[in-house]
Amino acid sequence: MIFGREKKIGHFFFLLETLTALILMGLLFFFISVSLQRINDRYVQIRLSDGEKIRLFVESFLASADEEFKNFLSLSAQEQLSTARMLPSLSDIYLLDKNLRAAKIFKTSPGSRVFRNFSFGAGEMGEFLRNTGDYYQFSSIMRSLEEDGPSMYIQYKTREGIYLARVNILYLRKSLTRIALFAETPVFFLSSDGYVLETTHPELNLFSINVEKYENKTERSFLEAGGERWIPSFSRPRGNLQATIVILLPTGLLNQVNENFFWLFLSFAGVFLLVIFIKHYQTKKQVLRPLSQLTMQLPKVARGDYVEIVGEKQAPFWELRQLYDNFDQMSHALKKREQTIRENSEAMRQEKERLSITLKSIGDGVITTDMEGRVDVLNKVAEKLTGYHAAEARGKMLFDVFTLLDLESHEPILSPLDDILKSGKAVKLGKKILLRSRSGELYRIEDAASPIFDAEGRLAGAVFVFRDVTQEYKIQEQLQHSRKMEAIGQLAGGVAHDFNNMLAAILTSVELLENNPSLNDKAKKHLTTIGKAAGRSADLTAKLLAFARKGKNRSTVIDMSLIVQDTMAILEGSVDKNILLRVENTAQVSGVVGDDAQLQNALLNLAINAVQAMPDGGTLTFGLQNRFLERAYCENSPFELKEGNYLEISVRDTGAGIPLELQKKIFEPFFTTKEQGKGTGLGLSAVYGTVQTHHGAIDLYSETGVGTVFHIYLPVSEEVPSPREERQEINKGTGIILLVDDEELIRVSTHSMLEEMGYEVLVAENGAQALEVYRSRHQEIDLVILDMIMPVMSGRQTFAALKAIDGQCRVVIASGFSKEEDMAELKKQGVKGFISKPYRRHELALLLQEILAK
Amino acid sequence: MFFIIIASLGAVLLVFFLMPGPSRIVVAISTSVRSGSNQGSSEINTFELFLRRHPESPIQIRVVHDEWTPKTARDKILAAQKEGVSYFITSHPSSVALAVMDLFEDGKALAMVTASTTEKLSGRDDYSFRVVCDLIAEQQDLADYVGKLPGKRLLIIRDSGNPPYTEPAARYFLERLKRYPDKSVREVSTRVADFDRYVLEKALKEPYDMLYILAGSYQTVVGNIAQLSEQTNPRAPIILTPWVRTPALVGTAGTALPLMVMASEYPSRYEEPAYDDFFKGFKTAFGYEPTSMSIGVYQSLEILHEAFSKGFVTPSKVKSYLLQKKTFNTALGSIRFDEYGDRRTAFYYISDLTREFQ
Repeated sequence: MIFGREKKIGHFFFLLETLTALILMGLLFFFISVSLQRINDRYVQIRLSDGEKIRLFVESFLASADEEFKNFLSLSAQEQLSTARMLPSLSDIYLLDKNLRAAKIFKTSPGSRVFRNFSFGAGEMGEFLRNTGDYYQFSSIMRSLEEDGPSMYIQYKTREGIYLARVNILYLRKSLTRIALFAETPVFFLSSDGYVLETTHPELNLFSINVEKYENKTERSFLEAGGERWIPSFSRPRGNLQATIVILLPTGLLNQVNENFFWLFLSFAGVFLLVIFIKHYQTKKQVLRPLSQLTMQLPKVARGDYVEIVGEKQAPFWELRQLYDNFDQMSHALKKREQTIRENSEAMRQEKERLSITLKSIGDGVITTDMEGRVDVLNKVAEKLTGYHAAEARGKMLFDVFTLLDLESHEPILSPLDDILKSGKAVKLGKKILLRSRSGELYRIEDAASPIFDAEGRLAGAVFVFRDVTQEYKIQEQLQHSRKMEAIGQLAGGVAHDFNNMLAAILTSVELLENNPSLNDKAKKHLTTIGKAAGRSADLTAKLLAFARKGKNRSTVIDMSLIVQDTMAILEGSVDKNILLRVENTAQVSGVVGDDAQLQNALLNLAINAVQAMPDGGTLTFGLQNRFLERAYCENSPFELKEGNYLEISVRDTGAGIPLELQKKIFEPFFTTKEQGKGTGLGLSAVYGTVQTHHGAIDLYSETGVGTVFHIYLPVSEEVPSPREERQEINKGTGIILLVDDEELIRVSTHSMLEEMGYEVLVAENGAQALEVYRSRHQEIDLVILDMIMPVMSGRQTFAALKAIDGQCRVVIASGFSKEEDMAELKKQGVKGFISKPYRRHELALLLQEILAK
Repeated sequence: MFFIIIASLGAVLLVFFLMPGPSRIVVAISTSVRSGSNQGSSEINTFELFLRRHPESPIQIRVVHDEWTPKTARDKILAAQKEGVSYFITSHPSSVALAVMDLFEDGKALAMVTASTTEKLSGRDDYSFRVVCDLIAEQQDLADYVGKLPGKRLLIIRDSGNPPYTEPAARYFLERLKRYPDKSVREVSTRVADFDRYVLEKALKEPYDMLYILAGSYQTVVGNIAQLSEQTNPRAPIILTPWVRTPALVGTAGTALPLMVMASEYPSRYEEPAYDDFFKGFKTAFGYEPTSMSIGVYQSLEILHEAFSKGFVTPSKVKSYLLQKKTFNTALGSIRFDEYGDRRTAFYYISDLTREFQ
C-alpha cells in the first residue's frame, strides 16, 4: 500500500530505479566533494606558493633596503649626502637628534610632510625609536608620517643621533602590485592589530582583517571582499618586516570548478533522472502498457471473447511478440476448444432436447433413478400422473414419488426397483396396479421397469416406463357394456318389432271392432280390455323399441325447456309434497331435434326413479345448460357423439344413491332393484335408447347417501322450435293412397283407417306388387305408405323404384324399426314423411293431410 | 499516488526554499571605505557591533559605498532606494549630504546623518534626522571657546579642500567671534591634504596667539601642520574641529600634541565611561580604534531599533515617532531632536589628546 493502491510493477521499478539513482548520485556527490576538496587543497597549495614568492620577494626587498642602508651608513657624511638619492629601496633618510627631531635630512620623498626639526617622538614612531633593543632595527609597518599611507622604517642608533631610513614602500607596493596583478592575488600588509597598512588592491576596500578569525583554523574560512570570496593566507616574513602579509587567494577558479562540478553533478543527476523517466516512460509505453492491455484482454478471453492481439504484434521486443503470439495461440486454442465444446454441448443439448422431446412425446410416463433409488428424470406424463414436477421430484426416493397400490385391495405394493438393481434385469409389473398421485388420484397403469447401464456397461440405475390405462380399461368396459346393450337392443328390437306388428293388428282390429255398431256392450267391454292390454303391451313394446332404437320417431325441433316444464307439471300433480321440485335453467339454447313424446317419457322415467329414491323426501332438480363437448370427450364416450354444442339436461335427486356395482347394469333391460311385479326393468333402458336415438349420451354420478344425478347430453339445434298444437280431431281427406306392407294385419287395419279418413286405398303385399300398381296408376296415386322391412323388396328398394317411375311421388315410410339417420337419408331422397308403427289414427290422418296439402 | 508523493515533496522543498525568512528591515550605511583608513570601516563595524549586542533587532545591514563623492553617493543611494531600502545612516561629509538631501524629502526614505554638519540641512521639514549638531552650533561654540582664550591674534588655516564645510563654518565662526572684539583674525585658506609648506610657513611666520585649523575629514596632516606651528610659535594653542578626531594624529603631531585642543560633541572617554567602553569594545572586536562618527552611527541604530520595535516600520511613521518622542536616551548618551529633527547640544574641548588616543 505504498502507493495507496495495488502495487504495480512500473511503480515498483520506478521507485527502485529512483532509489538507485539517488544512491548513485549520493556516491557521485561524495566522490565529487572529495575530489573537489583535494583539488581545492591542491589549488590552495599552489596559490600559497605564490604567497611564498611574495614573502620571499618582500624579504628580498627588505634585504636590499637593509643592504643599501648599511652601505649608506658606512659612507662618510659627504658621501652620504651625495649617494642618498641613488638608493632606490629607501625613500627617506634622516638623522635624528636626541630629541628625536629631524636634525638632518639626507633624502626625502616628494610631497613629504616631514621637515627639519620634525618630531618623530610621538605615537608609534616614538615607541620604535625609543626601543632599547638593537641599535640597528627595522620597524613594523606603520602609518607613514610623510604621507597618508603605511611605511616601514630602519633605525641605526649612533652617538651622534639616530639614522632613520624609510623603506620605499611605494616601490615595494608597485612591485607587489605588478606581481599581484599577474597572479591575481591581492596582497595586504597588516599591522599587529590587523589594520590594513598597505595593499595592492585598495579597490577591495578592505580596511582590516581579523587575523585570529582566519588564521590557524582547521576549517577553511572565506573572506568576502569586493563582491568576491577569498581564501586568506597569512605569512610573516623573516627578518625585519614586523608585519603580517595577507595574500587573498581568489576562489573564483575554485568556485568555477566547484560550480562546474555542481552543474556537472546537476546535469548528471538531471540526465540520470531523465533517463530513468524516459526509461520508465518507454518501459511503461512499450512493455508495461502492452502487458497491461494484454492483461485487460484476459477477462475478455475469460468471457469467451477471443481477441487477437493484432495491433500489438509490432511490439519492438521479441519477448513481447512471443508473448502476443503465445497469447494468440492460446486464445485460438481456447477458441477452438470452446467451439468444440460448444459444438459438443450443442450436440449434447440437441441430443438432450431430442431425448427430452422424446420423453415428452412419449405417451407413457418415464421415471429414471440412480443406484440408490433416487429419482433422476421425470417426463411430463410422469409428472402428470405422479403429481410431482421433475425439479421437485429429482433426488427424492422413488417410493415417495411413485406410489403403487394393488388394484383390488388398494394396498401399497413395492416397485421392483430393488430387484432391478440387484439383478440388472428388466421386470414387468402386473396389470392390476394403481398409481396414487400426490393429490391422491388413482391411475391404473401398466408398468415395465428396466435397468440403466452406463457407457461402460455398469448398472447405473433403473428406468420405469408406465402407461395410464385407466381410460383404456374404462373404454373397454364401456365398449363391452355398449356391445352388450347393443346386443340386447338387437334382440329386444327384433322381438318387439314382431310383437309390435302383432299388437298393431290387434289394436287396429280392436279399433275397427269398436266402431262396429253390431257389437253388444259385453263384447265391447271385452274388446276394450283387449285394447287396453294391447295398448299396455304396445307401451312395453314401444319401450323395448325405444331402448333398441327401433321405435317410431318424430324428428322435429323441440324446446326441451318446455318439455321439462311439462314434466314438472305432471310431477307436481302426482309426487308427494315432501319432494321439492326445482328447475335450474341456464341454457341459452334449448332446442333439440327429436321426438318430444319420447324425450318427455325419458324425463318422466328418470324423475319417477328419483322420486322413488327419496321415500323420505328430498329435492328433485332439473337442470338445463349448454355444453360444448370436445372431440376427446366424444371419442372416449361409449356413445356415438360428435364434437359440438350440446344441451345438458340433468335430473338430480338427494336420495340414497346407487351403489357402484349397480351403476354399470342400471341401463340393461329388465334389470331392476324393485320387487317383482313392481317394475318392468325397461324404464332406464328406454331412456338409454331414447338418448341414443337422439344422438345423445347419458351418464350418471351417484354417491351413496348423497344422491344421484343423471346427465343427458343432446345436440342442440340452431333451428327455432315449432310451436306446439293440439291436433286431436281427425280431418277427412281425399285422394288415392297406395299402402305397401307385407303384414296383412297392417294392410287391413291401415286400409280401414284410410278409407275411414275418406281416402281411396290401393294395397300391395310387397314391393314388386307396389311397383306394378304404381306403374299403372301413378298419375292417380297421391301418396304411397311404404313399410321398410318387407320380403322380396325392402322399403328402401321399393322407394327407389317408385322414384324411378315418378320422381315426384309422395312416399310416407311406416316402420317399427326406423332409425333416424335412415329416415334423414330417405328424406333427402324424397320421402315426404315417417310414421312409427304402431301409429295412431289421428297421427296418420294428420301426417297425410300435411303431406297432401303441400 | 507515487507521483503525487513526489510532487508533494517537490512542492514542500519549493516552499521551503521560497519561504521568506524572518521579517528584516534593511538599514544602509552610506560611507566610504578606504584602505589604510579607519574611516568608513568604523561605521560599518559599528553596525556589526550593534547587531552583536542586539541579535533580536530586525535591522539588516546594507553598505552603500558612496566614496564620499556627490555623484556616486546620489546614484548609489537612489539605486538602494529603488531596491527597497528605506533607512540610511550616512557618514559622508556635507558636500555629499547636500547632493543627496532631496532624496529624503518625499518620505520614501529616512536618513540618520552622523557627519554632515552643513547648515543647509538644518531647519528642514524632511526625513533627515541629524544626530550631530550642525556647523552653526559647532562653530558658534568654537568661536565662544576661542574668544575666551588668552591672546588676541587668531590664525585660521582653513581647508579649501572641503568648502561645503569649511566655508560656512568659517563664516559662522567669524560671525560669532565678533562677540569677542579683542580678537583679531587672520585667515589662510589652503588645501590641507597637500601640505603646502610654502603657504603654511608663510602664514605661520606672521605672529599669532592661537591657531585654529578649520579642517575635517580626519586628516592626519593636521598633525604635521601642528608641528610646523609649534616650531614657529611653540606656545600658541592649536584648536581643532571635531572632525579630525583620529588616533593617527598622535604620530603626526609629535611634540605639538600638547598644544592641540579638539572640540567634541562627546566628552572625553576618560570622563564618560560609556564612551570608553564603546571604544574599548570596538577595538576588542575589530582591532582598531573607531572614528567618532561611529558613536553617532551606534546611537542612530539604537533610535531606529527602538522605533522598529514599537512597530513603526515606514519612514513616515518612524519620523512621526522620532519627532513626537524627541529625546532618546541611548547607551552613548542622550539625544534630543528639535521639531526639524536637528540636534542641539553643548560641546566639549579635549586637550589631552595623547591620553585620549591611547
